[in-house]
Order: sequence, then C-alpha cells, then structure tokens
Amino acid sequence: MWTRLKALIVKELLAVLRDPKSRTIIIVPPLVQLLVFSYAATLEVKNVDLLALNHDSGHWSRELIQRIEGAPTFRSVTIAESEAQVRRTIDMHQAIGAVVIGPTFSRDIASGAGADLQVILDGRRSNAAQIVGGYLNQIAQGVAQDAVAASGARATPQVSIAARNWFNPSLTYRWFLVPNLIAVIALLIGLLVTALSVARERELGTFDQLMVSPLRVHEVLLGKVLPPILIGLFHITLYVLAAIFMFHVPLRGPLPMLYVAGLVYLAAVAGVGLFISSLSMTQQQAILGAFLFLVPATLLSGFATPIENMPTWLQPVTAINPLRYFLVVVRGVFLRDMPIGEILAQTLPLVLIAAVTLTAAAWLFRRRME
Amino acid sequence: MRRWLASPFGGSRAMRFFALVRKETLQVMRDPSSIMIAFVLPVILLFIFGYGVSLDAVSTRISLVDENPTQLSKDLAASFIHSRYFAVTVGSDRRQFEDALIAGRTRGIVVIPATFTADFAAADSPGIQVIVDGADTNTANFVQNYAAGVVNAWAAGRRAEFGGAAPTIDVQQRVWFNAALASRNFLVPGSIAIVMTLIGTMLTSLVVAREWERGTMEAIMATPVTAVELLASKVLPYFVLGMTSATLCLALAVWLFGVPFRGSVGAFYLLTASFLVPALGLGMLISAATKNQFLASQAALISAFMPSFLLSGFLFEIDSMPTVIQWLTLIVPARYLIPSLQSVFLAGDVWPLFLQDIAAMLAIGAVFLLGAARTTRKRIA
Amino acid sequence: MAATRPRFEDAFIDMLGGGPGGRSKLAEASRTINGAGAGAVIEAAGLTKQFGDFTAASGITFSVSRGEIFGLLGPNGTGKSTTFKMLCGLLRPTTGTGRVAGFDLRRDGAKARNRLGYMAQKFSLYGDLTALQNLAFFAGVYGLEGADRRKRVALMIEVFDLADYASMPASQLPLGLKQRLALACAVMHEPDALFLDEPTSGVDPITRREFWAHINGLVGKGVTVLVTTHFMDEAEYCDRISLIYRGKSIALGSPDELKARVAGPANPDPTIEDAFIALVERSEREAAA
Repeated sequence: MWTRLKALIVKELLAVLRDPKSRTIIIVPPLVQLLVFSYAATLEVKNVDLLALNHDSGHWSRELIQRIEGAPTFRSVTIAESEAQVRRTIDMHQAIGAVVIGPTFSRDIASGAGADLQVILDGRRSNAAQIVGGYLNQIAQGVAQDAVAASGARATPQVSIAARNWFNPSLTYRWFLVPNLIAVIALLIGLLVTALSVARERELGTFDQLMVSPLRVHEVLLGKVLPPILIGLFHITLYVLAAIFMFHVPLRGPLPMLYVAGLVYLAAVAGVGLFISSLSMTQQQAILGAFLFLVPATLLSGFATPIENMPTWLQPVTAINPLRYFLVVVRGVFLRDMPIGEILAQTLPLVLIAAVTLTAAAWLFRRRME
Repeated sequence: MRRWLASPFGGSRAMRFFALVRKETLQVMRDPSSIMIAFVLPVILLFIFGYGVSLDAVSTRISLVDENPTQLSKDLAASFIHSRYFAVTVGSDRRQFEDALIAGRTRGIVVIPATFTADFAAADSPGIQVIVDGADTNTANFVQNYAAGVVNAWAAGRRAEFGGAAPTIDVQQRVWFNAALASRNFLVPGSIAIVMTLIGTMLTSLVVAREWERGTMEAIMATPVTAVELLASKVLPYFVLGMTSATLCLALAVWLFGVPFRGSVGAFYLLTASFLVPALGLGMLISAATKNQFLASQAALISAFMPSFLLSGFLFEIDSMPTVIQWLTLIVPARYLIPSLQSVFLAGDVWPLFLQDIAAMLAIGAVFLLGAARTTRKRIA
Repeated sequence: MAATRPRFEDAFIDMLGGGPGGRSKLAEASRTINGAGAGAVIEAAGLTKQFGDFTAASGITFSVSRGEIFGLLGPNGTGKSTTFKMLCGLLRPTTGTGRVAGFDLRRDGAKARNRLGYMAQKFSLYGDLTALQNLAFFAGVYGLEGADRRKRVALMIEVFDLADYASMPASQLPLGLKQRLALACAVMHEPDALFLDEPTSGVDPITRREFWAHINGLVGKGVTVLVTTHFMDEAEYCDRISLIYRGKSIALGSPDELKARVAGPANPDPTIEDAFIALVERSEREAAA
C-alpha cells in the first residue's frame, strides 16, 4: 500500500511543482499578498486632510487650529473661505471633514460659558470619520483644559484612563494582521490546490486511469490530501518567518503547537477542498466552488471584523468555519502566549470538521467511482 | 456605416460578429457557473457585507472590577453597564478576569481602583485602568475610545458638583450623508464594486482561459475572425451580465438593506458601465496571457479581486497607507469606482467627482483592452 | 490462408519503406502467462447498466479465454463503451457480474484491477509530467518497487523507443509517442488482461501496425485482450467479436463466422464491414417485427 501511496503523492507534488508557471504561482501570490496586505490593510487613520472654517478672530480658535495642525494624524488643515467651499471639498473626497468655529468661540471660552465647536464629517467614510471625530474631540478637550488652567477656575477633574494594552502595547495593527494572514494563506492555497486536484483529473481524463488502477478509495483520498497539507505547511512556515523577521511580530507562545493545530487545520481545509472537488465536473466549477467557500469563510471568521459584531443569528454559522478556530490559535501563539489547554480546545473543533469533510469526500469518491 | 455594412466585406463581417455574439451569449446562459457568479455570489457577498461584516461594534464583552465600591464608583460602573456598546460582567477581583482575557473570552477589563472616590473628591488626578486585549487591535482601540467616552460623559455629568463655571468646549458632530454612522451604508455600495470585479475579471478570465485550454479558441482561429472581433464578442455578454447583476445589487441594497439612494439611477449605471470596461479588459488580458484556468484564477485573484478589496478604499482608507502603496492604488480601477459609488448612494449626484472617476476608469480600461487585443492576436497569429 | 488483395494502406506503407517486421521486443521480454485450466480471464455475465430510464447495455454475456483477442464492435452510443467500462471497473453494473482473472469486479475490485492494464481512448496520461515520471508513477501504483521498478521502466523505455523523449513533458509528445507511452504504462505490471479503448484512433498506419505487432506478441505470451474499435479492419485482428447494437450483443463469433452469416449469392465474399451493416439491418428488422 505504501508503494502505491508514495507513487500517488509524488505524482501529485510533481504535477503542482513541475510546471514552472505553477511553481511561481505557489510562491509569488502568497508573497505578494503578504506584502501588499500587510502594508495596505490598516484601520489606523493617518494623513488626514481637514478643513477649517474659522469665523472667529480670537486667540483660542487659532490655538485650536494650531493644535490640530500639529497632531501627527493630520496631514493638512486648509483654511476654508465659505460653507460652499467646505461642501465642495468634502463632496469631491478631498477632505474627510471640517471644523467650523463660530464667531464667539474665543469670547465664550474666556468668559467661562460653554463654547460650541462644530465638527463636520464625511459619512461615506464613516469608519475613518468616527476616528477622526474622536481625535478632534480629544484635541478640543485638551484646549479646554488649557483654558481652564489659564482661567484658574475650578473645574471637574479629568478622569484619566490608564490604558493597558496587553499583548500589543502600541496597538500595532500589523501584529494583528500578519498572524491572521498566516491562517488565511493556508486556507487559500490549501483550498485551491485540493479543489483543483480531482476536478482537473476528471476534466483531462486521467481520473479514469486512477480508478482503474488498484488504488483503493482511502488511498486516493490520502494521496490527494497529503500533498496540499505539505504545501500548506510550507506556506505557514514562510509566513511565520516573515512575521518574525520582517514584521517583528513577537512570538510568545509554543510554536510547535501552532504546527500541530496547523496540521489539523490543513486537513480540515483539504477535506473541504476535496469535497468541493468531488462535486465539480470541471476545473472551473471547482475554482468557483472553492471561491464561494473562501470569501464568506474569510469575511465571517473574525479575520477583519470581530465575530461579536455580527448579528446573533449569524454568529453560529461561524462554528463550522475552520479559519475561525485557527485564527484564535495563531493570535494566541504569537501574542497571547496561550496555554496549551486553550490551544487544544480550539483544535478540537478542527478535528471534527476534518473528520466530517474527509468522510463526506470519501463517500462522494466512492459514489463517483461507480 | 450603412455603406460599410452593405459592402460584401462589411456585411459578412457584421454577420460573422453577430453569429459570434449569439454563440457567446448562449454559452453564458447555459453555463451554471456564470449564473452562480453573476447572481448567487453577489447576493451572498451583499449579504455578508450587509449583515456579517460590521465595523460598528455592537456589544463588546468586557469585565469590570470595582475595588472599593462606593456610591460614586458604583455610579461610574453603572455608566459602563448601561452603555449600549458594552456587555459588562462585574467582579471584585481582577485576577479572575485575566485568564478570560488571555483566552479571548473577554475583550477588556475596567478597573476602578480603591482610591478612586477619594481622588475624585479631592480633584487629585483620579484615574481608572482599562486593560484591553491588544491582540485584536481594532476592538482594543474601540474599547479604549468608548471607555474614554463613557468616562468623559460621566465626568461632565458631575459638573454641577464643581460649580460649573469653568470653560468648556462642547463639540457637536454633524455627520454628512450617513448620520447613523452605519458601516453598512458604505460597505454595501462598496461591495458592488467587488461584485463587478468578480464578474468582469474573475469570471471572464476563467471562462476564456478554459477555452484556450480546451482548444476551442484554436477552432475559432481557423475562421476569418479577427482578434478584435473575438474579444468584442466575448466581452458583450459579460457586460450585459455585469449590468444585470449591478441592477440586482442596487435593488438589494435599497430594498433589503435600506441603504439610502440619493443620486440618480442613470449615474449609477454610467458608473458601473465605466467600471466594467477595465474589469473586462483585464479579464481578457489575463486569460489570453495565461491560457490556463488555474493560473488565470490566481492572476485574477491577485490583480483584480485583492486590489478591489484592499486597495480601493473600500474597507481601508487609502490615505492611511504608505506612500508607495498609495501610488499603486492609482492603477486600480476599483479605487475610482468606490468614492463615486458611495456618493451616488449617500450624497447624491456629484458630477464633478463622477466625471473624474469615469475618465480614469475608461483610460485604464483602454490600456487593458489594447493589451488584451495584442496578446490575443499574438496567440492567434 | 489465402492471400488477400492489397488495400490502399498497404500501398501507403510500402511507399514509406515497409512496415515493422512484426517482432515485438516487448513480447519477447515479457513472461509467458501460463495458467493451468480453462478459467476465463475476462467474463461478463448478464451485464446490464441503466441510467435512470435509459438502458445503455442489457444482458451482455461472453467470456474471453487466455490468449484471446476479443473485440467489441458497434456504432457509437450503443453500449460498446458502457460494456467496456463495466468490465474494467469504471462503471458499476446495475445487474450482472464481471470478472477479471477470476476476481469479481464488485467484491474484489482492487485485486481484479491489479491484474488488468488499461489504455484509454483519449490520451489520459499526466501531461505535466515527463514520460519517465509517468512511467515511474504507474510502476508505483501497480506496486513495483526498487530494482523491479527500475528494470521494468528501463525495459519500457527500450522497447518503445522512448529514450530520446524521457524528459519531455508528456503533453508535448507527438501522438504516436503518446500512444506508445500509454501502452507502456498499461503493460508495465505484466497484467493478465489488457483493456484497450479505441487504441489506434488518430494514429498513422505504421504506428498502428507496430502497435498490433506488440499486442499480438503479448497475446502469444498468454495475455488476454479486450479491445473496442470501429476500424473494421482492426476487427480482423480479433479472434472473436461481439457486435453491440442498442445495448445488446446482436452477434458473437469470429470474424469469419460473422462474414459467413451474411454471405449470400449477392455477396459471396463480404468484408467485415458488409457483415456489420447487414447484421445491424437484420437486428432492426427483427426489432420492428
């Protein structure tokens, strides 16, 4: 049996690796994805262009505008001449918002009455806009505090917040993203390679040759699942190395556990891929099927946005998504130094998913064989 | 035009072209994957972006430890508990929550220290601690920000105790176009761009690459068809498919997800049609260059799908990206569609913006189509 | 044996310098399959296949003995390939049994498949892999290892003249060489039975003759062959033919017997093609009646 299996595994690996085009495809897109994703994807807000419509001629409005200009988040603060200009600039996407300072601003501050400040934000970019709004609020409160100090009046004490960001003190988005990418790339490559394997053979006619050979169903299954797992482990390693040495993401937990969980994860992914492949008659169907699984799986996994943000009725769907569990493991191993017990708790659902999908794929194989 | 059509050369050419177009259309209609991608996948995508992906945190699980409960501290704690952004579990010892934080079962711990009440009364730098799970930076940021908001609002509510004569700045936010700050309102229009990319580039590159693989392209080679005619005949049915899908998306966005639509339908169609030009051009280029479905799918993924997702301003702000990447986005067609699409839904017809974006998309489209024609010609020749 | 009149093909080959001599290095290097006793190597008993309402094949029964070349002849779409596929394990019969080398295909499928070799109609070897890698794969899949494998692979390369093409991706080989490679992969494990599905369609006459030289040589050493074809003259190579029409075997016998059946005053010396047409017509008439 090993002879047969070995021959099949060698053949599968060769088929993927022999073609120089195919070889580059296995290496280049993951690398490109790693680089572009890591540098492009960011929910941080930087280089913000703002407008200021200042009807006031006093000291405090100037102070406020200066403070904003000095803040690193803001790239430019353009003084607007009119409300119409503000409207036009924001409409044309050239600024994300504006501060509108009324004519009595400085006087109101000096007199101790409340001064009003209007902040206009572009709701089309509501996520970034909210963050900008938050920053502007902070700056405004800072100015207010200075005014308080200058006036010497008794004010409500500011309650300070000591922010303790565990695991990631400066909240570097990349420390969150790059480990996530490890899980995603394994899903992508694992899925594509397995999904294509059976469908390609069927389309090109070599499937019959396999069925006529003395290979048994479970041997074919193993032979089709092991190579993608090997390739997947290769990619995981590549990404782990990049994470540590290129992006300086700290590795605090047990790396071997990452591989253990990764192995099971890849088996689950391969199971899904084979299942899709067995249902497809052509390569195109297989690719589309893989894609149809890939997109929701990636988006509804906690990769980009947390599962808690989803409506309660949708959250259970993520229970069958292998990516969801492996994401927790990857982040846990890198940043949280997760105890082994917790890691295994996340691996258990992966074992279940792998078992179910592989059994289903085997069953489909057997049926197709007839 | 009429004279050209009437001439033996022109007339047969037109006939040939229409025959091609008919065959392509029939193929598209009979191919279940086309229907899948053009109708089923968009619905799934819109659904995911409408419901599943949300940047608006709804109710984040946090824990709260009040080390020395007094009326004041309980009042502060109550602000957290009643905040609609948090689901708070209260305890008396932070250690019990720290394991939960590591395991990811809670996202943050708010600690009101024992000295809080005294410090506040004495105006002696009262402070609280907010510990967050920094591994999930987005949620961490959110928890910190909202915690700050809760605290500031609470402190402001206490103004009366301190005389209330000190200067304050009252910031009023006016959010244009999307007052509810619902991320859905910009995600759903944005996802239409992704759908167009899927149909325009991904689907077409796959289908045509398959033809190259199967050899049916070579069969056409034997006929007097030119590269341009071939391309045009392939592009047309997918263009129609794309526009139909766009209509479906529009309907879903407005009627199912309740995204406001303040612009004109004409502008919407003009924008999506202009986007389909570079999308289809790229699809044709990829299929002619790769001649292989696996490679075509990979190429479409990196050069079209990922950029439309990452580099278009759909989810991530372009201005926040490193400068090099910002330049890269200039050749991503989706980058021009997104702001216009978001505007046509939320802001209304902003023609200066639209015309700018349409011009950019058509220019990029021309380059891709030219490239596709050249590559196909080389293959045929 | 009477001399037959030369056909166009003979003239063609003659002009090309004559065909292969009729020797087969392959056969010479293969072991002789002895086998005591009469057990049929390939057996079909009441094979029937239904796809929903449509009956593709019904009640096909025959048995092929050792060293026989058995042909399945028939128009396309009438059950020839269905029968063929049922007998090599690609399709599961709705009713009836198939046996190869004594093993029931359903119950002992893997064992049966170990003893048969298969050559597909469409080129179905791995195009991305080189000829050598294809050979190595099939060797492994049929359980050949180590020195055994090396010997057999080397023999295949020598016999089929693949040395110059060993490192070429299989998809780039000219058609004749692809054919040879496919045959090599099918016989590498010295099977008892060889299943050939329209093996020489699209191949030039010289290669075709070469191919049959190999087959005949192997048959001489005791290999049993089941072949489907619609080249009428290839039917002549067969020891016995089953004519399949509308899912049933409408005639079973040696080429001469079939010809004799339709010989008559109008056509005293029919070709196999005449026999074929006449038998089909006869069957149609019987069905209509």
